Amino acid sequence: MITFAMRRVVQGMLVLAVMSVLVFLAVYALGNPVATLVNPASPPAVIDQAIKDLGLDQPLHIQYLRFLQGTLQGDLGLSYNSARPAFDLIFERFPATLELTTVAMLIAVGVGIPAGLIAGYRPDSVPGRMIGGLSIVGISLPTFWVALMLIVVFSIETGWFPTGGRGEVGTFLGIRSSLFTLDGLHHLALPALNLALFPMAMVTRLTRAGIQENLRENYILFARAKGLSPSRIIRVYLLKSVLIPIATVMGILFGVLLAFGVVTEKVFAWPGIGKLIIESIQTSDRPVIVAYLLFTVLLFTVINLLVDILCVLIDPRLSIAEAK
Amino acid sequence: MRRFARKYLNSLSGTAGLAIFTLALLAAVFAPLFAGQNPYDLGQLSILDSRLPPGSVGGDGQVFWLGTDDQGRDLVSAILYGLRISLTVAIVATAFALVIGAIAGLLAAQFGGVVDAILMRMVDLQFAFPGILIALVLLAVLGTGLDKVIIAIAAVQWAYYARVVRGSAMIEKNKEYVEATKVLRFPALRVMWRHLLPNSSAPLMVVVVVEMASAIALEATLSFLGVGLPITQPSLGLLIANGYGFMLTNEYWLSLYPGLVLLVLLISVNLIGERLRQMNDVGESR
Amino acid sequence: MKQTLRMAMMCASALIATPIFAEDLTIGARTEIVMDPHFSWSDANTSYYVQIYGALVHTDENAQLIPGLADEWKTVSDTEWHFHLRPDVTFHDGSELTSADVVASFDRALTLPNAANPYSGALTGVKAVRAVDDLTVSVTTEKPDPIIPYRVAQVQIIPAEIAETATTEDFNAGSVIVGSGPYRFESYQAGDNLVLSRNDSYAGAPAEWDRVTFRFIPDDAARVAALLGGDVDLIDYVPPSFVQRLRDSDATNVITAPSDRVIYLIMDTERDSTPFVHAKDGSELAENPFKDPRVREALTISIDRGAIVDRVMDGLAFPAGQLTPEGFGGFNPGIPVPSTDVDRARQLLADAGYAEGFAVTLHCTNDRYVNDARVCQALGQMLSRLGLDVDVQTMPRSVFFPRAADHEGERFSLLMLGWGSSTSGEADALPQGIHSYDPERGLGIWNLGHYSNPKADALIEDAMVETDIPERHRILSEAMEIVMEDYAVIPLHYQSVIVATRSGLSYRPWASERTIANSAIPVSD
Repeated sequence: MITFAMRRVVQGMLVLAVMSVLVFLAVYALGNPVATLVNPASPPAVIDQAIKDLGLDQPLHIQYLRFLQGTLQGDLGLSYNSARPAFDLIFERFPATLELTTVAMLIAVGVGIPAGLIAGYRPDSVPGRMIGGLSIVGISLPTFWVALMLIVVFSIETGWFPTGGRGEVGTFLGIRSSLFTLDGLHHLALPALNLALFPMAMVTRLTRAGIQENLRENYILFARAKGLSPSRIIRVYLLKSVLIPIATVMGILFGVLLAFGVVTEKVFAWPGIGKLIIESIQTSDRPVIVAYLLFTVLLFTVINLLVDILCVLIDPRLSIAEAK
Repeated sequence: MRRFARKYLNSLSGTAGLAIFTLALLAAVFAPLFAGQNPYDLGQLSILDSRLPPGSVGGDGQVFWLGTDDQGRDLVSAILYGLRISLTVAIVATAFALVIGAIAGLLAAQFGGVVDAILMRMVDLQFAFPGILIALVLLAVLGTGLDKVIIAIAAVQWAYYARVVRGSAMIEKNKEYVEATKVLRFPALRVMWRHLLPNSSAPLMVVVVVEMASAIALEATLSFLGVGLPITQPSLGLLIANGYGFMLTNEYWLSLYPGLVLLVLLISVNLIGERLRQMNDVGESR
Repeated sequence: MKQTLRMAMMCASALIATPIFAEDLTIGARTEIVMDPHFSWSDANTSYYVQIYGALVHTDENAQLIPGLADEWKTVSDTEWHFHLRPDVTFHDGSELTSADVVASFDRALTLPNAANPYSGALTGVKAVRAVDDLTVSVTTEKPDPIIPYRVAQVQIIPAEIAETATTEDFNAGSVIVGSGPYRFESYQAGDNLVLSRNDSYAGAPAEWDRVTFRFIPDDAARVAALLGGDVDLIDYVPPSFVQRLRDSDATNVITAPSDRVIYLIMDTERDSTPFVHAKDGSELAENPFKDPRVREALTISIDRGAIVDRVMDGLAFPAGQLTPEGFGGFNPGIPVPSTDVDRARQLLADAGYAEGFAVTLHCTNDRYVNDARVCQALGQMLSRLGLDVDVQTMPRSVFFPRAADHEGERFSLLMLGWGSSTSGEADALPQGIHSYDPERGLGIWNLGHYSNPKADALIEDAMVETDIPERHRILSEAMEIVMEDYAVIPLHYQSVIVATRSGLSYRPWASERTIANSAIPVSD
C-alpha cells in the first residue's frame, strides 16, 4: 500500500514537471501580453521598456528557466492587472471556489446516490421512471443557460435570492466561509444549485447503471432469493460494488465542477478562481494564468492520488493488479 | 440485425428517442431545402430585420415563424443550420475521442505496468485541467473554426473514455474467465477485443451518451465565453449564447427556441443511449 | 415543518431586503480597482483613484481641466510649467500636502518596478518634476507640450514618506492607502468589493455619501440582474440591449450621454499585397484595393450607420463622420456624417476596377467595445451587399491586440478599433492613429493600417507643439478634414455612456465613462 502511494507521488511530481513546460508553452503561445495591457496612448519606448522590465524580450528557454526558478521559490510574479502576487490571488480566492464546489458536490452526491439507488433498484416504479427521465433532462441543460434562468426566476421575478456575489463571510474554528452566515448561505444557494445540476444527474445515472448491473450478479440474485430485505441488500452488497466507479467518477466530477464553476462563477459574480481565470485569460494576465494552471495540476494530482487509494481500500484486488 | 432492431423498438422511450434523433438528422442534412434563407450568407441577412418577434414579416416579405435573431437571421433557418453544426461537432468529436480513449484504456488495462503508468499519467495530466480550460487555452492558441473546436473537444474528452474503459476492464480482467483466457494463452489483442471491450461497453455507453451531450454543451459554453465557432456560422449553442443577453429584455425567442431544440436533441440522444444500455444489460444477464 | 422552513426563508429575505440607509451607496462596477495607484495606467483605475487620492489637475465630466490639488498653473517658458498647490489640503492621515509629496509621487509613478502598463506612458516627454518652494511644483518637458496639465492629471499624489517606501504589496494589503480625496479607504476584498467612507476634512466639495461600496461584477447580465434584484443602487457600462427593460421598470432609471469613444474601421493602405484581401476565387489581386481612395469611399458610403445605431446599439450611439466627438478639440463641424448610397458605392468600386468585388476578412474584438461582435457582423452584411465576400472574424482582445498592434507582424487588412479622447481632451487619434507610423518620435503607434499622408502629418506635427489651445485645435480640425476627405479610416459611431440606477437616484455621466460616487445624487421621484 505504501509503495503504491509512494510510486503515485513520484509519478505525480513527474506530471507536475511535464505540466510546467506545457503550461509555460501554451501561455507563451498566447502572445505578447503588453500589447493587450498597455494604455493605447503610451509611446513605443515605454512599451519596449515594459517588455524588458518583465523579461519578455528574453529567449524562450531563458524565460522558462526564470519562471522555473521563481516557481520553485513559490514566486510566480505579480499579476499584470492587479499588481498582486499571482499565487496570493489564487489562494485568496480558492476558499470561495472550494466552498461552492463542495456544497455543489454534496448536493449532487446527496441527491444523486439515493435517487440512483431508487431508480436502479426499482427501475419500473413511478419514482424510478421519473428519476430516469429527470436525470436525462439534468444532463441536457446547458449550465450557463440554467444560471441565467435561475437568476431571472429566483432573483429578478421573485426576489427570493440575491443575483450574485459571495455575501457575508463568517469565521468558525478559524475557517472563514460564507457557510457560517445566513447572508452567505443565501448567496450560495443559487450558484451551488446551478453547479450541482449536471453532476447530480451524472451521479444518479452512474449509480443506477451500477446497481442494475450488479443486481444481475449471482450473489445478489442469491441474496434476493434468500429473502434478504432490499435495504440490507443495498447496504451490504450493492453499495460497495457501486462505490468503485462512483469514487473514480468523484475525481472526474471535481474537475467537471471546477470547469463548469468557471461559467457559474462568471454569471453569478462568485469571487472564486474560475472568475479569476476567465478575466485573466481575457486580459492575457500571464502570471495568474500560469499560477492557476499549476495550482489545478497540483490539486488534481492530489485528488487522483486519493481516488486511487480509495479504490484500493474499497477493493483490495485492484492493488494486487497494480502491483503485478 | 433485424432481431436487434426489433428488440430495440420494444421500448417506447427508446423508439421515441430514435425517431426524434432521425428527424433531427434528416432536418440537418436537408437543411438547405427547408430553410427560407441561408443564415450563413451575410448578403441574405438584413440588420433591419433583427430581433423581430415570431410571426413577423421581414423587409423582403418573408415570414419569420420563430422570429429573428440579433443579426436578422430567420430563426427557423438558423436552427436548422445550427443543428447541422452542433451534430457535426458532437458526432465527429465524440467519435475521435472514443476511438482514442478506448484504445488507450484497453492498452492500459491489458498490458499494465509501464504502458498503464504512462497512459494513466497522460489521463491524469488531462484531468489535471478542467476541460473547458484546456479547450479555452487550445482555442486561444488555435483560433476559431469548426475543425479546431472538434480537435479541442476530442482532446478534452478522450481521457474520460480511457479511464472508464480501463476501470471496468481492470475489474473484468480479474474475473475468472479472463484469467482463463490467459492460462489458455489467447493472444492479448483477441482478449481485449473479444472480452474486455464488450464487457466495458455497458459503462462506456453511458459515458458516450453523457459525453456526447457534454460535447454539445462544451461547444455552447465555449461560444458563450467568446471562443470557438465563428460568430457568422452559429451552432445551436452559439444561437443560445447570442440570445443570452436578450433573456432579460423579454426577447425570449432568441435563445428559447434554439434552447428547446437543443434540449430535445440532447434528450433524444440520451434516450437512445439509455435503451442501448438496457439491452446491453439484459444481454449480460443471460 | 414546511411552515417553519418558509418562515425561515422569509426572514432571510427580509434581512437581505432591508433598505440600505440613504447615506450609503452600493455600485455594481464592471472593472475592479488596482490598489497601487502607480501600477497600471488606465482610465478604469483613474476612475477609482480620483475619489480616494487626487492629482494636481482634475478633469470634469466633459474632460475639461479643473483645479485639483493645484489651484492654478502656468507656463514659465515653452518647456516649463509651474503648478501652485492649494494651501489647505490635508491627507487622510492628517499630514499637510507639500510639493515634496508631489515630487515623490511622480518619482514613484515613473519608476515603479514590474508594471506592464506603466505611468511613464502618461508622462511622455516630461523631463523633470521638482519642488520650487513648499507650494510650487515645476514640470519641465523636452519639447513644448501644451497638454501637460492632462498628463499630470493622470498621476495620483500620496504622502512623500509612503511614496518613498511603500511597495505594491503594501497597497494591496491596504495599510498605506492615504490620499486627500473625498473618500477614505475602508476595506478591499479582492475580486469582490471595495468600501470607501466619507472624508470629513476634504478640502473640496464634500462627499455625497457616508459609505460607498463598489461591487465588482464584470459580467454584463449579472450586473444588470444585480440592479434589478435590488442588490446594488447603480451600475455602470449597461449594455444597450438591456436599456429598454431597465427603462420599463419602475424601480430603475437609465442615464445616457455621448461618450468620448469613436468606433471606426481601419484599412491597410500601405502594402501592395495585403494578407486578408483576395479575389473572390481565392487568387491574388494585382494590388491592394484599399490603396485606392475610391474603394475606401465605396466602403465608407456603403455602411448604413443609422441601421447600426438603431438595430445593433438600440439607438444608444451616434453616427460618426470623424475621429472625435463634438466638444473635444479637433472636432470639425464642417465634416458631415457620410450618408449611405450603395448604388454610388458600387459605381465607385467598378470605377476602381473591382466591379466583381473582392474577398476580405474583417477582424474585430468580441469583448472590448459595446456590442463589438454584433456591429462587426452587421458591417459584414453591409459590405456583402456592396458585392464583397466578407469573412467576419471576431476574437477576444487578448488575441486581437497582439496580432493587430504588432507592426512587425502580419497585421490585419480590415479591422475595427475604438478610440477615446478624454485622456487629452482633444483628438489624439490624429497623432496616435493617423500620423504616419514613426516609432522614433512616438507618432502613429495606433496607425494599424499604416496610412500615410504628408500633408496631414505636417499639420499634426504643427499642432503637437502649438501651445495656443484654440489655434492648436484649429490645426487639428484642419488635419481632420484632410484625412476624412481622403477616407483614411471609416468612422462608424460614437458610443454612449450608459449608467442605470435604482429609482430615487440620478447620475451625472462622464464622457470618459468614469464611475464616480459623487456623481450619483438622490432625487425625489
